[in-house]
Amino acid sequence: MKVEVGSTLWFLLRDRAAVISAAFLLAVALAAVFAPLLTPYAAQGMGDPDLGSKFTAPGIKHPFGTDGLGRDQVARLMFGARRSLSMGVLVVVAAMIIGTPLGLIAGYLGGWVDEALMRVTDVFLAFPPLLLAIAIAAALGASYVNAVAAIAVTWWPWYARLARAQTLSVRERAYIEAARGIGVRHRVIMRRHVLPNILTPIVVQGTLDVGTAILVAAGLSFIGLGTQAPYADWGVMISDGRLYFLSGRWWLSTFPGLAIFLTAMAFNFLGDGVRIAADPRLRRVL
Amino acid sequence: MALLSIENLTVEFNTPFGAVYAIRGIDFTLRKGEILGLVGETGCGKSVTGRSIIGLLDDNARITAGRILFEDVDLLRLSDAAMHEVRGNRIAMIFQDPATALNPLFTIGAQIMDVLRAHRPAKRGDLKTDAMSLFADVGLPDPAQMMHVYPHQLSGGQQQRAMIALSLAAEPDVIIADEPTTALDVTIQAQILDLLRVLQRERSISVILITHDLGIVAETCQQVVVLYAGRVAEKGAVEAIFAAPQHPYTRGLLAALPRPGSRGSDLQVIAGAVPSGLERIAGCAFAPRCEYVMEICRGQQPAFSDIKQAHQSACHLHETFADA
Repeated sequence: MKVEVGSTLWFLLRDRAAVISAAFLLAVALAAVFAPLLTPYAAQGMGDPDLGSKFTAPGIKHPFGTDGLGRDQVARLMFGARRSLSMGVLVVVAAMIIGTPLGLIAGYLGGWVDEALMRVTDVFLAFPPLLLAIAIAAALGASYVNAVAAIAVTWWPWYARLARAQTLSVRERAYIEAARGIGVRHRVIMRRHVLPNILTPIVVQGTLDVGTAILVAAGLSFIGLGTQAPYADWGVMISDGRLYFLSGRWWLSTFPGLAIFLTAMAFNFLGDGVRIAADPRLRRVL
Repeated sequence: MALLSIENLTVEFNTPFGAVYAIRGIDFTLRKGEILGLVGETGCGKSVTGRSIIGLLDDNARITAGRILFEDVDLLRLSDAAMHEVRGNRIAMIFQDPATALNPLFTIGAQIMDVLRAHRPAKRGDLKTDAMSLFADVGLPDPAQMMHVYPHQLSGGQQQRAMIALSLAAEPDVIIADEPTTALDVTIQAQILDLLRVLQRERSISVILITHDLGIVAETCQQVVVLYAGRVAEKGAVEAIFAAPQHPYTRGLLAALPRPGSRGSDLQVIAGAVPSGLERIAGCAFAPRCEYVMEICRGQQPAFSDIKQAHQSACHLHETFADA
């Protein structure tokens, strides 16, 4: 395992797009964590208005301008990153934690267990994901936690499907049969032998999905079902700014939009890099 | 004393083409502390027999008749939970390709400790000592280092030794080895077979050695069971059968072995092909290929004749000679 992780990292470091993406994401994460130290407008980032300087265009004092309540957009973006990034990561982690064990059990046991679990995933997958998330978030009530829960509920079936497919292939490997031959129990085989061997594609899918999850979370916030005022996330900022976009105050929606776009893209490049670096057959591409 | 008796074991597979008769009623007995060779060509039911014993047949297989008595308990009647106690603890099975039989993500030390922990709970320190002494017993170099080595860092022979150490960890009475040396080259093959013999002697473990290689049987086993098309053709002590094979199939097999000095002459073959598993066989399964075939062979399945004590062959010829 040590050797594998080491060589994956070695190959990942040779992928320029992945390295740049990782650096960008690290910078965004650090900006989010240390936002209060990095901006003079920390209070505005948390929602305090400064009505004297509303709708200031981008300039020296406010590089990304200010919004309708005079709040510095850089500070808002940094504080918004806390919610947007954490929502994206939490959604994916929750979906993985729910979906992976279910898919593993379905694929390993097969039979009616498999049938039952896969029909449940079918029910979830039959809805357009955003629509289902909206319905659940609306039913639970608008809040940060509910938005994460709503999106995770629409997302886990993908991981269940992926884990099941991987399990179907891994369970036919000789070492699973060899473990059976020397009397290892099903439970132990699933945990010790199947799970570690299906994890790589699931983690890769996770890195790819964080970007998409941020977009969906932004979508929920955009229609008012996610983060609530006075706090901000990137989706809320776009939503608030869209009314003024055509009246010349373009900076309100543009910068949070760029932040989402770049972050989602960085996660995709990173995920792609991990996928290639972790697969010995694809490494020669680098 | 009989440790494991197979009685009239019959196994079918459901396939899209209909039922395949993989094993058509076989009987043999494994005694404590002996190595029994199960030989035959591809598709004769060697591996299916091994898997039936340990309860690891594929989902589409059905045992339609017979008993598998282990210390007078019929394994086929045991519940899944009870069978689980047997598997590993009493009977373990190792497979052909050691390269894929070990989990690639964990050190073999971690894998053997898993088995030790499951089968005899003890303190971690003891487990480690036990694991290293098992590695030493199977002839792996530098057992302390082995604890930290991944399967891909071992050679094929070392991987099979590690696999044998894993199967020994639960201290089984019987090891079923399904072509354990087929994937290894000849010198390593000899070493692994030596190891099996040493284990048999020192731990009085009984071994069922599944192979298609008569040389391995002659070298390693005390007893041999020759299978043909899912039936036992001949069985008995290795010396007796190799010295005086009675069944025409066994004779054909032994005659087909190339020998030094036979260079230049054609290899001996048994004409014809093995009957398909889809066929029901009325008489002797070998009749279509047998050079001594008689009318009775096509209609009636031959019973076992005792050639000597502990040497039996299923052929109508023996009765003919006995009558005359």
